[in-house]
Amino acid sequence: MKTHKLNNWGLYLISIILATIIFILIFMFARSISNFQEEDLLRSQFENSYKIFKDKYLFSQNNMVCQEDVLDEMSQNLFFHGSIISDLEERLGKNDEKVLFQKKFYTLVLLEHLEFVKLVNTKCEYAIPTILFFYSNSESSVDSSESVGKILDYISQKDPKVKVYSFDIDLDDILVKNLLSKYNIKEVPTLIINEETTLINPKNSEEIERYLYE
Amino acid sequence: MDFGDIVIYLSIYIGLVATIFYLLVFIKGSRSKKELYTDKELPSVSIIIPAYNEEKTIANTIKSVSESNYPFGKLEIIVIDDGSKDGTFKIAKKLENKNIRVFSKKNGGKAAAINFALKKANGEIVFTMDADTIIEKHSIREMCRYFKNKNVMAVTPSIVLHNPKTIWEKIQHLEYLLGIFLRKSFSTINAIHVTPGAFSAYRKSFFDKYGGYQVGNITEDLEVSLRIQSLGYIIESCPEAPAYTIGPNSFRSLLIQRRRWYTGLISNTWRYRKIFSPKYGDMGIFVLPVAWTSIFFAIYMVIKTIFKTIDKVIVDLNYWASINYDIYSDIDLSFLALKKAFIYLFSNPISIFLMLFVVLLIFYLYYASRKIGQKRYLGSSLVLFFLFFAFLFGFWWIVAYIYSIFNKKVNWR
Repeated sequence: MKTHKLNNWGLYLISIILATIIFILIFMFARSISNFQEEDLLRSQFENSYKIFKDKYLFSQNNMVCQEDVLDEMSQNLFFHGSIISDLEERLGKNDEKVLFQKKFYTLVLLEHLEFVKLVNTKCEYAIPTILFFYSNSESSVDSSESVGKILDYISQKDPKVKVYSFDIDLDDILVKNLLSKYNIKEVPTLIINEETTLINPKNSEEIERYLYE
Repeated sequence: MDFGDIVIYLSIYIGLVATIFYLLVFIKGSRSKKELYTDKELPSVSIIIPAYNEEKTIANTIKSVSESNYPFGKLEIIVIDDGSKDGTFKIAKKLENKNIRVFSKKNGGKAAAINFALKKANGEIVFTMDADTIIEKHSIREMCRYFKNKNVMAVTPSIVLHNPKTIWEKIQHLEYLLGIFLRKSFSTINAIHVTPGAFSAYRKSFFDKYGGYQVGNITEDLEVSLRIQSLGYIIESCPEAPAYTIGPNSFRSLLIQRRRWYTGLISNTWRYRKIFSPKYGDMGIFVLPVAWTSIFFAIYMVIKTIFKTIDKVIVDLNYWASINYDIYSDIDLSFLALKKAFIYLFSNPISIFLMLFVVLLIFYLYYASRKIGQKRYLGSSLVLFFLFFAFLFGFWWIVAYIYSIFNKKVNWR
């Protein structure tokens, strides 16, 4: 009597078909979550941009924006977008069109925010610390850029008043090119602290904080 | 997508196909009826218990078999003390009676002890049982029923760990429970290729015709099961028959056990490599190839994880030093951070596949726990299993391959 039979071809076929369907469905689901994140990011960026432009306009009309909560309201979520864009870049690749658009738009929003913070510092006599962070994802610079980026995340989380503006020097964008020229950026990672101090490849948070609160 | 991602997704796809196939086979099997002995037809049985330095457990093992509800007069117990240096022989001898015979011989290993007992066994069916295993009253009865089919040469029970307490026991506990479902599924397609040494039943005429256990083989029970399959016979599964064994309770003892098991699996599978063929049905073309493919995937993942972990630890240590070890301030539990983590989890297909396998595993465990009639230790075992088993499995296999490649001696203890 034959005890080892091959009579389950139907089950094999069903298994392969079901596995393939499940495989594709899960990828589609993951993709849809990723798309949701992209759309959510875009919507948030537009909302933030609106807030910034609105408040800049109001500022020019009166001095109401010297109230503390105005800047907080405007800054809410803004700096978090950077990490989401990094996630998208990792997932979709740095040459992905959507990622490039998000980064360019984000650069513009950051610069508007930075200008507003400078105005507030001048007119309202605040001393909001700012850090401009120039980084690169190229092979030679990605590790040091990531290390400095993480230290800056820590600093901004420890003290939410600190505003960190991150710019990818490899982004093909006129705004970034202007910044590189303005601040004479020759290598990365470079920090411009409070528009005064230039730090190249700092190794720890103390090195940065020393200049941050002067 | 790099090479590592391709390997992961390929292993997930094969795992998915195999999981669905085993589930379908299980359903098919649950609908078919097997030939089973009725109570009146049950054959005579010999329970062989080889023992070496088991004075702490031998009495309980003999007692659990004596309390079996097997038909009176059809069951005998043969205890072989394999040259123990403790009180094993003395304790077993005290329990000797008309149905329990106790022998002592010079130490020669488990296979030699069983072969010694096979010559003395009068039963049509022989059970081999470890001296630290205990069974339920109905286990022997239920397992013997499957021998009605003359082609069935072995029947496996539901092997479960007895009172798992340590982390290592709890990890094994889930692995054993998973085995209950898989063995039932495999039995439908005659693909069981391992009969647990702790407690299994065999038709005695198989040993009479083809020889007893192979002395010197470090996994003699595995050799017997592969021999049975290679000769074209059947191994059945009886999930309704629980048998409780004691597993290793430390990292070292578990590593020693698995090193022996897996080096034995490598050498015995090589010996019987002809069963990787369509001639051996689903076992030959699917079950065994998938099992061995998953071993190579596990090894690859362990090696990759080790390197990635070393790299991450170095990066993290440097980072913590750069923030003066102010780790508390670095924790971000804001709504945005949690939302980002949630989205990251569900936008990563690997996380979703992992969740799917967890759900399937819970289903398998539900089945297994119903069969053995207990749900204790499931919660904590599940967490530990998911945290550690995959890595440990790959690690044990790497050790086994190193021992096999360099032909290093593998001991029992």
